[in-house]
Amino acid sequence: MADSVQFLISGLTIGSIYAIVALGFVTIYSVTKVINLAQGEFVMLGGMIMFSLLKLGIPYLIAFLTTIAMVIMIGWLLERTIVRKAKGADALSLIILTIGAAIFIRGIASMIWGKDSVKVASFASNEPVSVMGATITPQSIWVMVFMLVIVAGLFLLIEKTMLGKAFRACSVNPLAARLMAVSPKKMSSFSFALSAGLGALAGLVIAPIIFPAYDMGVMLGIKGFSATILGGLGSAPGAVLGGLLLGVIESLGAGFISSGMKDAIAFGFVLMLLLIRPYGLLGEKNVGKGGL
Amino acid sequence: MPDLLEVKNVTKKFGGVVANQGVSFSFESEKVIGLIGPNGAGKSTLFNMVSAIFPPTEGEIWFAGKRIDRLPAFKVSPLGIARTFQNLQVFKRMTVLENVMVGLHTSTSSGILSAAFKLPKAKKEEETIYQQAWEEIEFVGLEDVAAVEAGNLPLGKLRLLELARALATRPKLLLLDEIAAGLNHQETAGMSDLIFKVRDRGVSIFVVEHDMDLVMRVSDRIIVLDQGEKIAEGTSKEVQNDPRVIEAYLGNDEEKEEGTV
Amino acid sequence: MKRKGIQQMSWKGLAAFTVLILILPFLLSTSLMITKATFAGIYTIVAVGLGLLMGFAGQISLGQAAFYGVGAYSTAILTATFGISPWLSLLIAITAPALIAYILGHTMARLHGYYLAMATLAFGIVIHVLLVEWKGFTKGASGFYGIPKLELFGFTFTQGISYYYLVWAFALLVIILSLNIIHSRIGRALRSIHDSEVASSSMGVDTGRYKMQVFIISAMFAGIAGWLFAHMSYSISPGSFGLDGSILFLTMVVLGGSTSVWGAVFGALLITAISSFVQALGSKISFITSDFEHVLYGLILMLVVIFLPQGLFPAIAAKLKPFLEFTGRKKKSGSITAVKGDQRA
Ligand SMILES: Nc1ncnc2c1ncn2[C@@H]1O[C@H](COP(=O)(O)OP(=O)(O)O)[C@@H](O)[C@H]1O
Ligand SMILES: [Mg+2]
Repeated sequence: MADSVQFLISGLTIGSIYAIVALGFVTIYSVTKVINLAQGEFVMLGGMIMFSLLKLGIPYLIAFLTTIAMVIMIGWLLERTIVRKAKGADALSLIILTIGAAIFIRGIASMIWGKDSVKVASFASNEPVSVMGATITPQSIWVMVFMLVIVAGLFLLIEKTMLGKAFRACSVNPLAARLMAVSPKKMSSFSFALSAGLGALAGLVIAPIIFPAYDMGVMLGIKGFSATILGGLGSAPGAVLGGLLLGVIESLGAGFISSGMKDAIAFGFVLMLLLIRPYGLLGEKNVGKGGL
Repeated sequence: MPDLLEVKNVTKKFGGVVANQGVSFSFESEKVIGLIGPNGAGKSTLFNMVSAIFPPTEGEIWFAGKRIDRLPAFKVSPLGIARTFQNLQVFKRMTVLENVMVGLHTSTSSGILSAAFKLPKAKKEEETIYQQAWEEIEFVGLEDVAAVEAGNLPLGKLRLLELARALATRPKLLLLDEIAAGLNHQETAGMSDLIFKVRDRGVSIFVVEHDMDLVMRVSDRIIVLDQGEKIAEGTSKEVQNDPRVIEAYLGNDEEKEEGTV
Repeated sequence: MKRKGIQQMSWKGLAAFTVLILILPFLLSTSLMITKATFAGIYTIVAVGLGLLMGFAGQISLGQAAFYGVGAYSTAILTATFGISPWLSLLIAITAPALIAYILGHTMARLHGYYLAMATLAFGIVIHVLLVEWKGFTKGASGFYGIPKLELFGFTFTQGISYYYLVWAFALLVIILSLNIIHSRIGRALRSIHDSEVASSSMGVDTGRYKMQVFIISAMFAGIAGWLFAHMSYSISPGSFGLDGSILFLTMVVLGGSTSVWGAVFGALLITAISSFVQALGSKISFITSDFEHVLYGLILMLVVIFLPQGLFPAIAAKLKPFLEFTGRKKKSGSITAVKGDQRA
């Protein structure tokens, strides 16, 4: 029992991260129809830049905010310099483009930070608390809280602000949006910046738990992508659900079966689900009209 | 003997837009049937459903005694339905001849392995459909451009190519969606001669056309759609004198090209 | 018979390439270079399959290295552990990936582009984990040792010239089979899907089915390559079959271009050459590491998509065309003038 609770909690923790990464995918996809496979690299940059800033002796909060700002800049630059140049390319090419960007960023990161894992301090105290026989670190509570705050914040941003209206207009019909004086180009930059920010946040909250390294973005990116597809491509609630589910399954698999097999179990589950429910949990038919 | 095509109470909605509303009609073999109506009346939508590109929201479509409205598109071609597209859908990066050979796809059956190893069966089939494709190309008069990539051809030739490609599937029913749109007088006249020649091959033709002279001349019977509903059906005379038809056309005399599918 | 109006296979191009492959070993000075050239052949086999999938079925696989791994490990286990003849295990090394592709392909037959990307990515990771964890069979992360050499009529293929020719014989076979496919009714069907899927299906082309078949073929090719790799290497380890491998194959196809079979071949050769060059450089300059190679691949992917979406080969082929008709397009000059006349009219 205590074991199950423990696994569930660690599953929800990592699942929250997947959910945030998945929301980043959805943010970009809904406006630009691009699947940005460099999303995981934003997470990595969040963790690694924070590490460097802290090492320079910059106070935690300032380092935290600076990291977010820097990663947002990088996301924005990625859109401006690379993605925009390939507008009009088909879905296949766009995927390849973002894979290229991912490898490039990762390669640069390994030149800057080397291949070793680094340590980033927790937000606050690191005394584990005990709940129903399971121990929880405060950081994992932070992770879940951040996920909820991000979900609420995104909801408010998209549903309640003018910016959100423009955002939605672009995702539904770029032509109509242009007629309403919303620039799809600006929205495209904005979506990359926003999702880079989300990635950075994910990296920041998880850094104290996982010892970040230059290649942490690979798996987190892929898991986030899986969560996106699992939930139904383009659906934000689906992304959150997909992320949490993936985290829990992975954690239960690692706990009860074998920790070495956890990724195989998680992805095996994704594959099964795609075979049974091809459009994902909350997805509509006909989304993701990519390569066909 | 069942009717060749039977459309039963078909409705199609795209979100809030009702493109077809309770349309019913049927016809037998060996006829040229015209389908007319102002722009946006729902003619192309009806064609798309008959060729199974998408299913109707309600209603049924039967072809030669078989229900076809739930079939995937590739399954209706072998039954004997072929079509051309209002907004040309030629295979741009393939030659004219290869375009027509795709029309002969279902009359061949060799699989990917016999293709890879060039087994005798695959070779023989290639030979046969190559000849047959040439016949269709000669039928529409595209011999001189047979080896040209379709993307390089002018509109008039592309309309002929779509016709040849559709004929290559050996259809019982041929759907022509504004096959004369954008053609000059001479080309239009050539096209109407071709339609007669196709009819003489024993193919039934269902034709959407804005050129009234052309439709009136080739059609045995005409169905009129307006705002998704069938408002009249009869000989060209009957239809021309129908007050509802006149009204539908009066409010709508400017016809524009419009993309569909 | 020569048929006017069909894009036919260019025997001249194939012959020229074959000659090049035959004489290449005599131009290479070291045995290391021969080994690299052998690897180029193995990669060519995978890349040609992936090129068919991307260029003709319009799908992307991010797990091609896993099929390659399934081929390699199935023959390794069958021959070294169970003592089966390598020529018999070749069948398994081909059919096992095919079977997996068939199952995975169901996510594609009904679905759109991104899902196969996802499915193959997930599959690649599952396979990699299994190779590492299923130690009873695969011997885990440290690798599988003791794979027997190939023998034919008493002749043993050892690493070196003989293996080079063996690999390239397979590679040429794969190239010819692929050229045959794209110049067949199925190739035409696939090319037609690219231009108009709607028209294609109203001509009776079952688009899902052909995409599936090409996916299976690409997996089979990767399986053959894996088999060749295993029997060349004596030992194999999971590291060769992970995501990096899949991305390497992807880079080859993107760089060369997937609109023709030769594009993938060219990409495989070029990337192997670049990689050998960078590694040679790396042994002299400490700054150049394997990271550098990755940065380079990332750059290549981005630049090619932006500036040369068709890949490098078509651009080069256009220049070469007067000398060799590589792309196999035979247009009668007479008919081209005829069209030009038409457009003026
Ligand atoms: N794929 C589609 N999605 C949404 N609306 C469509 C689609 N196809 C047609 N429509 C709408 O249905 C109506 C009928 O269109 P259509 O069948 O093309 O008319 P016609 O061919 O008679 O000119 C129009 O209002 C058109 O905008
Ligand atoms: Mg129309």
